This record gives sequence, structure tokens and C-alpha cells, in this order.
Amino acid sequence: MGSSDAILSIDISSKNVKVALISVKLKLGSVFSQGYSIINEDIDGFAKHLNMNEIWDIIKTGIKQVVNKDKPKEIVGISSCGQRIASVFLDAHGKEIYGGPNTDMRGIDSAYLIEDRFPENEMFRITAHSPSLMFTLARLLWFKEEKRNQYENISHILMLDDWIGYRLTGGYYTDYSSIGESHLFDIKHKKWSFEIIESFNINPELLPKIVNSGTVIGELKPDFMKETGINQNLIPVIKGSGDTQANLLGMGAIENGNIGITLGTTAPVHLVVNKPIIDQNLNFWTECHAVNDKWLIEANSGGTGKAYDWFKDTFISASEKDVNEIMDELLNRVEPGANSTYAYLGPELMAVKDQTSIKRGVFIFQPPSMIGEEFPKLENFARSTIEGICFGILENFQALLGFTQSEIVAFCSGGMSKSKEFCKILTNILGKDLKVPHILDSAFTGCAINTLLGLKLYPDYKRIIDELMQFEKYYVDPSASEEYRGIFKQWKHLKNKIDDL
Amino acid sequence: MSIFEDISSCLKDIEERYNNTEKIRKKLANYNDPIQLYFLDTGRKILILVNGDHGIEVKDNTGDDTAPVKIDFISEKTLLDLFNKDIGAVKAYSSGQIKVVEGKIRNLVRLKSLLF
Repeated sequence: MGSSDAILSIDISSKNVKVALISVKLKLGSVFSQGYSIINEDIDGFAKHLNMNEIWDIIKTGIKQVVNKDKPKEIVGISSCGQRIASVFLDAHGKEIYGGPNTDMRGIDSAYLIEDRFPENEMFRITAHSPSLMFTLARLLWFKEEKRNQYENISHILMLDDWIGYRLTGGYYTDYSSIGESHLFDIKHKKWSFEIIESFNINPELLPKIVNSGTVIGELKPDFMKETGINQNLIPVIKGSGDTQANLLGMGAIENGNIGITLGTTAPVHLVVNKPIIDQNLNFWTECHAVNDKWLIEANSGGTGKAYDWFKDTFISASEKDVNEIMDELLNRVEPGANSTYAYLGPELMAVKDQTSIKRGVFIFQPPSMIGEEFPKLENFARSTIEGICFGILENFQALLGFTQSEIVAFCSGGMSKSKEFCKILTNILGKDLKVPHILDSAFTGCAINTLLGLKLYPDYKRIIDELMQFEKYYVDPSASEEYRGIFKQWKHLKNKIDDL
Repeated sequence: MSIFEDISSCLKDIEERYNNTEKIRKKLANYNDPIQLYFLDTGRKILILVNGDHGIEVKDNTGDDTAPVKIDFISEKTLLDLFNKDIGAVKAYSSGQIKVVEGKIRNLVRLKSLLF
């Protein structure tokens, strides 16, 4: 990349801070990734926070490393994305009072204030998200109730990606995709919900300015350039988006009827729609896409990546070979259905607002009995784990089909899509051809796409995707897909029985 | 050293938390649903009747299977561990030591400070 122009992409995902250089033709350069701490505040485990200085130091280290390695001719722009729902509160001097990840459930102590003020359907009608305890509003009210002094000092409310932009430029900006998951925002009308904001006496001056993703929000601070070893006069900073929306951009899912599956720690399944459709059952969330006139309906399959990583770490990580290669070998050894082995490790149809219990993890398999001819093997459990994950995704995929009459085009990207066997199984289980972008860390691509748009190098997202992105396509094998329809019925039948455990 | 050594001391603490903590009463001001706790190891049932912010009644060895909020504990020790802070609520919940059999999140969020 030494002789080419490059874009710096920053992604704070659920587990890692990631930094990459990506060319203006969307070719991925060096990538840096490092985990960060999530700090439990007490033994209860509900309240968690981030060490924002640690995260900032990791970002700086990452930038130094990738710039030093790739030595780009010029960095034409920098953009970012951050874990959705995560939020940051700053004082009047711009110092962090609080930064919380999407797993911070401190709102469990303050959500009653929201529930008392707004009936469930009313809150959902405005925000298209539930339950209240997960979001920025409940966290803000927690500080009001529990840490009054800190609450009084809050001068800026930001989402995690907004905070990166603030640290890079000093400006307070958010975008629709990020702030749409704060519980302070009216999704249908794409504006602040002053109905909510005034109900809780939140000073509107605390709120950042909203801009479209792909808008230049300032220039990289000179001090920061010096600290990270960037020798350039001016680098524009472009507002990014929530990480999932960046992933959707980076897999090409931007048009009405597109369904994008982001295979991260969880697997949110998003349907792109032309208008804000609010789920009448108050279950599936509606969000703003990074694309200006598009909304998203989200059905989240839960901890798919967690289940996959757990299986690999627990059962095959001791081997000297590459774990992902071993997984593919194991998957290849067994036919669909894995000899009647079924895995229930979490992925399922989204029902977060009614989720009052965590279901037990279960494998159902042929026991090593005296009369059995085939004993269960590691490959059966590996295949059933992958199939169980894919069935969980299928349940959500099917639910989203009820929200559209449009022709569906399906995309996926993220960690698990690195496995070709996984992609084949998912394609056949969905019964839908699947487009997988060449760059599987699609959040980086999404940030770069926002940068190209912000720099006005292209007129719109579609042109960038059409001209620069390349895909691998997985095609449905009709007989395997038909076989999976029967296996899914059996998986679901057994699931209904074990859900009560 | 454990402060709570038997279930009765936990139940007494629930009453004291309610009576002595204004924040808890405020949280429960609009709450009137009976809560049943059930211990799977002993079969012991406890019924907690909250009358908004007007009062609380904790009835040991009493059940109400029609209660809108029902929480099962895998053992009496789980409740003791929670009260003694030997285990966190999230861990107890995710490891299956506590299971909410009936109840909506909107109700349960109000009960956290009272019960855990």
C-alpha cells in the first residue's frame, strides 16, 4: 500500500478495538486488533463500564502500527464505527464521566422511571426498541438516581462511535444510525423525541448535532497526528455509524429487500426497507441505516459467534493446526443432520423483551449405548453446533420475510463467514443464495465507504458498492436445502420441549 | 463469614429493605402483583405481597401458583448466596440457579433491589 492513498478505519466491536488501512479502491491493508476491558462495577454483574483511556490508547497503538507497516502515500480520510447501544457521557471539559458497553444493564435500576411514564407500546412506537433497561436513557436516569453529582456534571451525551469522532476532532456529532439506538430518538420521524427528552427533563443542550453518516465533521487534531506518527497536514474525519450499519454497508446490503447477516459475537439479521416499519408485536427493532432514506428491521439471533467460539475453544483449541481449518474438516466428515445430533447453544428467534430466563445449553445425541452401532464423535457435535447456529439465524430470517413483499437478496459477513463450509451450510439452511464480500471484516469496508462518500469521490453508496466491491456467491443446493427443511422441523420440535428446562 | 444463615433471615431482610429504603418503595409505588419464590430442593414456597408503596407482607411456606411473578431457585442455598453476595444475580441467572417461571421484564426490573 506504500504508494497508494489510504483510508483509516476504526471499529470498536463487542470484544476488540480494530484499526485498518484500506485503499481508496477498497483493498484491505494492515489490520490491528486488540481486546479491551469491560469492568464489572459490583458482584451483581448488571452495571459495567469501559476504561475509555485504555480504549483510546489502543486506538492510538493500532493507528501507529498500521501506518508504520503500510506507509501509505497519503491518508485521505478517517472514519469509524462503534458497538451499537454503547454510550459515553462527558463533562463540560470533554472529560469522560462514563463509558458503557452494550452489555451494561445498570438501567435495570432506573427503567421503572421510564415504564411509569410511558406505556410499553408508546415507548416502542417512538423508539422501536425495547426493553428500556438496555439503552442510554435508562443509563442517564441511573446516574440521576444513583450518582447525582456525576449526573449534574454531564454536558454531552454521545454514542460510542460519536465519542471516537469527538476524540479525533473535538466536535460533538452523532448520526442517525448511532443515536437511533439511544431511546432518545423518534425512529419514524428521524428526529430527537422531545416527548421523551422533555418528560425526563433532559437538557437539549447535552445532545450532539445529528449529521448523516458519510459527512465530514472536522479534521484530525494535529496533536493526535504527532502522537500516532502521521506526517501530514490535514486529514478529514468522516462521521461513521453503528458497527452493524457499517457491516451492512461493507457487505453491500443497502437496498430495499436486502437482508444482511452480521456474523459477530451475535448475529443481527437486518432487512433493509424504504420506510420505517414498526413491529406491532413490539419485538423486532427498527433502526436507521447509514444510508439516508433507508431503515432497518432487526431480528437478532443471539450469541452465534459466542457459541461458535465456545465450541472451538472448548473442544479443539489444543490442537496445533489452525482451528478454523479443523472445524471445516470436521464439518466435511458428517452429513446434514450430524447423525441426529442437535445443538441448542443460544441462537434462536429474537424475543428480547420477553426474555426473563436464560435457557440451558443442550446437545441431544445418540448415547453410546450397548445396542447403538455408531457412537457420537467430535464431528457430530461440531456439525450440530454450526447447524444449530444456522437454524437460529433461519428463524430470524424467516420472521423478517413477513415485513416485505420485495425480492430478497441475502448477504453475510463477519468471523464465521471465513469458513466456506459454514457459508455452504447457511446457504442451504436459508434456502437462499448468499453473497459474501471479499473483505470479511466488513465494518472496515463500511467505514471506508462512508469516507469515500464524505470526500465526495462518489455520488452515492450504490455507486461505490457497484464499482468497488467484489463478492463470492454461494448457491443453494436444492436437495441439501430440502433435507435441511426436515432437519429444522425436528430441531424446532425438540427445542420446544427443552426450552422449559 | 455469612451474615444470612437461613431463609428466614433473608425474608426479614426483604421486609427491612422495603420498610427502610425510600428508593425501593418509590420503585414499587405502582407495583401490586404477588411474587412467589419456590425452592426446588426443599419444595418451600414463599409469597411476597407488595401493596405499592403502602406495605409489604412476606409469607413463609405459602404459595400461590396463580402469582403473575414466579421465581424458582434451584436451592435455598442460592438465595443465601445471593444475600451474602457470594454470587451475583447475573451469574445465578445465567447459570440456571434462578429461573423466572412467570413475569414480565417490566415487573422484574422493579423487584431487583428488593430481592437481589
